[in-house]
Amino acid sequence: MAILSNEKTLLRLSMVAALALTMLPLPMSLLKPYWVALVLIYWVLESGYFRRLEVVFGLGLVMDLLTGTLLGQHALSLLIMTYLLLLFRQRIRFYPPWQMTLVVFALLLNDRILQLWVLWLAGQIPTWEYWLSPLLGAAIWPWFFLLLDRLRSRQRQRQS
Amino acid sequence: MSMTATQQTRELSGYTTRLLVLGIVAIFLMSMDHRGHYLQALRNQAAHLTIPLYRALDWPQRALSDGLSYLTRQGELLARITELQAEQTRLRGELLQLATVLQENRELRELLEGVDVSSSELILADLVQVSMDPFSHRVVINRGLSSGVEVGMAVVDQAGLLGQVTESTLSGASVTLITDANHALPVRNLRNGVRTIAYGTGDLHVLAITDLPRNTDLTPGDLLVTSGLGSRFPTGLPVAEVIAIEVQDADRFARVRARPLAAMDQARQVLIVR
Repeated sequence: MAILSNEKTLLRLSMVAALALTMLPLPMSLLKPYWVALVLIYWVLESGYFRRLEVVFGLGLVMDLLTGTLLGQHALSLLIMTYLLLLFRQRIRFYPPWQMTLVVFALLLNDRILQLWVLWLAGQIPTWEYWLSPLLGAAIWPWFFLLLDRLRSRQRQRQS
Repeated sequence: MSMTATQQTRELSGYTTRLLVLGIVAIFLMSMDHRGHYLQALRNQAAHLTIPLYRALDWPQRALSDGLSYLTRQGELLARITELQAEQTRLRGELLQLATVLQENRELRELLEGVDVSSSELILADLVQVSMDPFSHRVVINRGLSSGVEVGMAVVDQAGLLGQVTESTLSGASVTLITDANHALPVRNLRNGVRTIAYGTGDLHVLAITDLPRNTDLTPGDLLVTSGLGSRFPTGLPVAEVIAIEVQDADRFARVRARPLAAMDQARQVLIVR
């Protein structure tokens, strides 16, 4: 696994994987967590990356183009999420896992409300499945967090 | 992380400014995109990058399903071939009748309007299996400019009109469905020739016709076909079936709901009409 030689590569790989997972067709297209947001939350909390909001904005635009949403919808969503995370980062980082999961759930739910506003202005009303995504995201979060943490610590060991 | 309190505050206020500026940019982009399609050129450019990516994502699944079909038992294949041959014979027969009808139709049209309706050509394409946003009402197909697919062409499945090509690149194209909330389609009632416009609603199973005078002759069960007005689509492609007519007493206009005939969310293979 020479590819995972530094943290930045791991970050890029995880982001590409998140985008690929977003595009992967599943029978229930609405039933999927907001992968890109989960990866973003992890890296904002655990490292200093994504402090430049322009990068997050660009990432959101890429996602808009890929998923065919209104240009700027995901950009705004990720922007606000990152801003909230940066504001409370010092506190959230030291929360016990269950509390952190609650924070993730709150962020994802807040994001859905924001995106609902955008969809509503564009004349679309989502069905009830729309609200399952934050639940799913929060349910996956602890394992997701452990997986990325494990990958990162293995990398550090190899470097030292 | 030895950051003093002032540094931290300064950094946070920097974040707030950036959030506000970028947030306003995002809202501006969204309204541009929604209102006037000013950003279509940008989307067309981006399609050159996104569509190859979709194809790449689609590849493993395609390989898997191809691999699985390779393992199909010979008996099954033989049965399928017999079935398809029978189907082909039947369709050939129907086609023979159609040729006569087509000839008559052309002659009649020449008598009526003097417009030459050249026969249309069909391109077969597979849907690229990627999961777009469920509210975007767009699908991606695996044929593009190199197969002659161009922007504006109509896309149909076996049952009816699906949508139109909005972006085309060498290796694939993206199609906006007729149910997209921004889509408007000139249609004609097959029964009596009444012309109107069917709008997408954002719901995959509903088209809406609004602002229709109350005395317009439309009843549930009527078949709507493309009228050819606006000269985007060929005439006479089946579009939708009228399911309900809602009239409010206070209102002088009726609102009609129609169900698209094409399998909007189940189609796997589509035809592009050129």
